[in-house]
Amino acid sequence: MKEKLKINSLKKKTILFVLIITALCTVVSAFIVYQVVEVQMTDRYEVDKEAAVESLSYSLAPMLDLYDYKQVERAITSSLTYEGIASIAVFDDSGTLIRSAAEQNVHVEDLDVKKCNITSNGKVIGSFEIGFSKEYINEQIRTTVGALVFGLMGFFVLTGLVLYPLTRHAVIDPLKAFTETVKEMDPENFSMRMKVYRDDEIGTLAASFDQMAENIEKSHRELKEAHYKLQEAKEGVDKEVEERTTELKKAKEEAERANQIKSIFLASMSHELRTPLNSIIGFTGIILQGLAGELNDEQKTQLEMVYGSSKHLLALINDLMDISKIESGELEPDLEEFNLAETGIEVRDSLKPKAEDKGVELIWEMPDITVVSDERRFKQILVNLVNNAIKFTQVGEVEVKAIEKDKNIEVMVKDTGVGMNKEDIHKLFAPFVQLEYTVSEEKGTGLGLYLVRNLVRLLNGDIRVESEYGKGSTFTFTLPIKYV
Amino acid sequence: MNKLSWVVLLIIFSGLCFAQSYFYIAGTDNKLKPEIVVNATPTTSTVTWYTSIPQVHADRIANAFRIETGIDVKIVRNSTFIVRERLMSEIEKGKTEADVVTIADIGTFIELKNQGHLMKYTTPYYEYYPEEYKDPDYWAVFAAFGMCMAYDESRINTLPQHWTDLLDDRWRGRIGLEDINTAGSQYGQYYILREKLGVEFWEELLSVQNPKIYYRTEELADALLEGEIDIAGEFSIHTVYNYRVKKGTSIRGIYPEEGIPLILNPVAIINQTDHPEEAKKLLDFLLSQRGQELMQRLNYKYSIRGDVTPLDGIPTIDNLNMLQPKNAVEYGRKRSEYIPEFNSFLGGRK
Repeated sequence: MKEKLKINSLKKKTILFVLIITALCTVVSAFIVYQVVEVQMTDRYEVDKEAAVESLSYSLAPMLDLYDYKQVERAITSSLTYEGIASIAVFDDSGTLIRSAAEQNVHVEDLDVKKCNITSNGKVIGSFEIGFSKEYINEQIRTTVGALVFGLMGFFVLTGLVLYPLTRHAVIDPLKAFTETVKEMDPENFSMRMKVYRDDEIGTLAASFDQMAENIEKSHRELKEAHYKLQEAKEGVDKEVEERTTELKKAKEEAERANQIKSIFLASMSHELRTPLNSIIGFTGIILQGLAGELNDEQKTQLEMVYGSSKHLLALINDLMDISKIESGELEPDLEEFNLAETGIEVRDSLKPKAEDKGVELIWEMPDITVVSDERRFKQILVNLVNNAIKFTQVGEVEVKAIEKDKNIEVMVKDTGVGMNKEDIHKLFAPFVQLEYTVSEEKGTGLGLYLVRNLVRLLNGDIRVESEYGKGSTFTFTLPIKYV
Repeated sequence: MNKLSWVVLLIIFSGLCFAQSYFYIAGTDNKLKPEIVVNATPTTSTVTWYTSIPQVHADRIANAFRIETGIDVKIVRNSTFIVRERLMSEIEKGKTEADVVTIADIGTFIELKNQGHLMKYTTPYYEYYPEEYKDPDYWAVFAAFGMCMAYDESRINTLPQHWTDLLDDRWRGRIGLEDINTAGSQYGQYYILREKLGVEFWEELLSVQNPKIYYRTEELADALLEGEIDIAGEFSIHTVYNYRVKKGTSIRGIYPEEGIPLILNPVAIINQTDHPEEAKKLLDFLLSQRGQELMQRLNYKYSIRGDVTPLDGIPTIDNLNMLQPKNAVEYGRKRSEYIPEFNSFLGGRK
């Protein structure tokens, strides 16, 4: 039922429109008709009354003049047959009633009484009073308006009945056919056509629609063909991608395996190399201390070179061992609680002599807080960074400062050394890379910062660099106060 | 409801609208007017007036009287001799309805007075009437009219100039007269012209010229206008005036030099009246200046009163050679003799 009442079709809308227009026309017409009729009929009634008075005065004059009272009676009774006149009384010049005639049961208060003298040859010979019904004009207006309104209503309803089929034939039926045609169309079937052959807009619309359907059908066919081709191409690509993926996966596995083997190899080799190297360093040191006898200058120089190269090689091996452990995933942080200030002082004290040797001021500031992390690796990171700072600073200072920030500890190592160009910063953490900014004779392994970054990441931290050539560099790393 | 039902329903609705519209209009046309109630001048009493003047004139004079006095007037109107017959018959039977009488036969009044049937009443208006037109304390002439000839101007070129010209062969079968048995004017003319021209005139006119007899003046006028006759041998001057001036016809009068019979129409109160006061008031009114003017305006007959201005366009009494009976008593007495004589000249026909 509710569905039936919904105005959801052009047909229903048209019917509603026709009904509304009909009702609107009737109401507006009724209003206008009432206004016009009331004014016109009232005016006309007034004119009629004046005319009746004048006419009666004119016709009564000779009758009164000749005392023809039968004629007077006839005249006033015949005047009463006119609608609107309810009573007439005729008097002689002395005011004596001659004749009066009135409708039965008429009341004076319902009458609009007009008085008029009757004259003959300029002499008043009598008078008459004529009573016009007040209700008459209202009745006339009601009747006329009623007749017109009902007539108009009938006319508008008939007009609506005629207009609706015309509108339906002209607009609704073609649109309905249009809608049904569109409904019957589906992505697989665009062969339906409107088959409306007219010269008006509907015909143009139908022709345009047919043309559009034809174009769509053609496009759809072409699209389908293209789709098939694309599908074929996609299948080829998918197959190739799958093959390449398999190859890449295989290559990756092989690379990982090779890397693992490499790490194992490096760890083993480092261990095997470190043992003899430690012996070489130990014995070379004993000799240099003169414990094995006095050395001449040449010997001492040569031994010092052996001693330095050995130490360098040991450092290189140690770094390689650590890197290989990290890359092979063998290195796990050894968590413990330690005091940051105390640990920092240890590192400072170990590097202080080196700084003093170079005349570089070492500024140190670390808060007295407890950190849960790997203390050894923390020291390793700090030593690497401060050592590098001292190494690349000829004059000035190296400032080490740590602050507590949120739940992290942020450590800044700032130097006034040579610095570097911005475009070189991204190369800084690559393994075996040594930038050409060396100001010291001391050679690095090219693995220090690579190791530092991996250690920071091992401890769930992060590291960044800010540097400007000639002004120095600032390395800042962040670690969680409590390792998670 | 399907589509067809809706269409039928709307057509019916539309039809009902039109029907309602029609009923609105038709209802107005067919609406019956209420009954009409007519009221006339309120009256206190009644007076009965026997008269021979035309009904329409009698009514209007009675209306004027009713307005002025509040007395209703019952009018008994007919030709002079019919009224006379009725009155005499009623008097003879001992009771008449008549209170006031006016008929065109002075002889009747003389007879009534002599027989004591007239009430003695001296109206203050008697003084306005010459001696020959009144009988002090009994009657006075309410109206007078002359009897001339008449013709249709559109048809007749050669006219009779004298009464005796009517005896010309040319007018044989083309003359019209009134019925003497009812018309007082026809008797008056017969009497006066018999005195003037002799009985031979009438004998030849009635027996040789074969005149046509009409019972009312209007019939005589119609006969003239329709060409049924060429000459009306008995036609009152006031009727000529009516047809010429008021009605605008082509009837014209011929006034012979030898004389125009003047017919008198007196007014008197019958002695047996039950309404003497009302009768006196009616007689006063009829003889008053207003009553006379009204009579003259309505009936165009002559007023004998000197203070009543004659109508324009009508020959006055003074301008015509008016003939009256030499002896008014004889005039009345000869009626019973002359009327049969008239009829006998006509060959026994009435």
